[in-house]
Amino acid sequence: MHFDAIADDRQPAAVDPRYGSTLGRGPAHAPVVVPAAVATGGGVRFAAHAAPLGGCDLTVAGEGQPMGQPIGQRIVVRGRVVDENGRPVRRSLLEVWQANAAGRYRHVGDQRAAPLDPHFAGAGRLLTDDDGGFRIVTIRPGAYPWHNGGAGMAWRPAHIHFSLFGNVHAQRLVTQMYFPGDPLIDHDVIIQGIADATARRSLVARLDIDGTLASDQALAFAFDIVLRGRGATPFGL
Amino acid sequence: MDDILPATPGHTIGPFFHDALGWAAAGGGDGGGYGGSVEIVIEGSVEDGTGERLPAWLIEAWVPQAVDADAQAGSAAPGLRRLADDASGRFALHVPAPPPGQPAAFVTLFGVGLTSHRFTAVFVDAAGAPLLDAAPAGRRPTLVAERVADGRYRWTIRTHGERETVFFDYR
Repeated sequence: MHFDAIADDRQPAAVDPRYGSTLGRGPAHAPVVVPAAVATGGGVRFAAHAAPLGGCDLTVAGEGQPMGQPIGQRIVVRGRVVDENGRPVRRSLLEVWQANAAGRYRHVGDQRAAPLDPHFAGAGRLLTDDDGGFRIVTIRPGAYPWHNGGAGMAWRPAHIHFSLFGNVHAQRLVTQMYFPGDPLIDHDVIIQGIADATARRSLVARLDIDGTLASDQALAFAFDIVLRGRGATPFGL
Repeated sequence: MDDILPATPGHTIGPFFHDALGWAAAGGGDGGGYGGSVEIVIEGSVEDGTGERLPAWLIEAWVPQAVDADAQAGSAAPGLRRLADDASGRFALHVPAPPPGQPAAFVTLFGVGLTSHRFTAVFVDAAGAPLLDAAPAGRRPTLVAERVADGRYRWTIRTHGERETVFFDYR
């Protein structure tokens, strides 16, 4: 596969004075551009038993999550993972994690005064199907406050963390999905670290009104992901 | 179907990923299954420009030379190692010795303070590796782990500053 440069305004700045955590931590040097057939032609191949094919459901019982309905707005997030040519990225690992409806993570590092939901752990994984597709059932996460260094208090918009492996090492991506119409997005230094407005918009899910009206169980959202790389051969790589 | 779609941007991994991602392979190091290859361990830490450890970090290592043995051992992710920060702040990466001219591992780094993932690689032999030679000569040592004993190496990842680790943009 071929990989092109990503424009600076389509990715978050490595060092951003508005986002104090990056100071002294974000690399000062630009990455070294290098042809590397091993990295662009191969990568981790997850076994079929690594994760369920095509979808996962964060609202049902799992490890550390007893049987019972989690509190909050049930949602279904559907989408496809494709490459820059629009070709499906098949059988690739996708992992998600998120806060609960109150905006609290089930994580030792989140001890703020918002309730934990005993019926919600907030993590899942799947392998994309042969169309690159995925379907995630979960509940809509809440916003949460955090201290942005010297800038003081900030609130993250509701978001779901997405981690993707793609089919080759160089496609690896960790990103976040946001919800349409969330007024906190314009005030969030993390998404605003991406200068290009269309790049930011690509991280905001779309309400799938048809899918929503077809259901009496959950709101439906659509979120597609484009991984780097083009020129994959027809049989996957 | 040969439009070029714009790639989805990356984001910081944030501080709350550990439980979600911990299911996958850890540091290796169960000691067996490498089919006669020598196993080496690379130990180190992830630091910022002042020498402080990053508050949270995740190292993923892709180890092509471990794939066959991992698969035979039934791993769900053959060739993958995942190492996250813990109370010690250190990592221990167990891999079979790499073939000549290859890194011991292709590494992807994530962390608080990093707004996107970073690709790098760690070498235990500085000679004759094309990927290592692609780095500027003065910065190559940041990719070479220092031998401390037979089969034991030390490698510090520095995300910023004077001895900043080389990160790659693969094409």
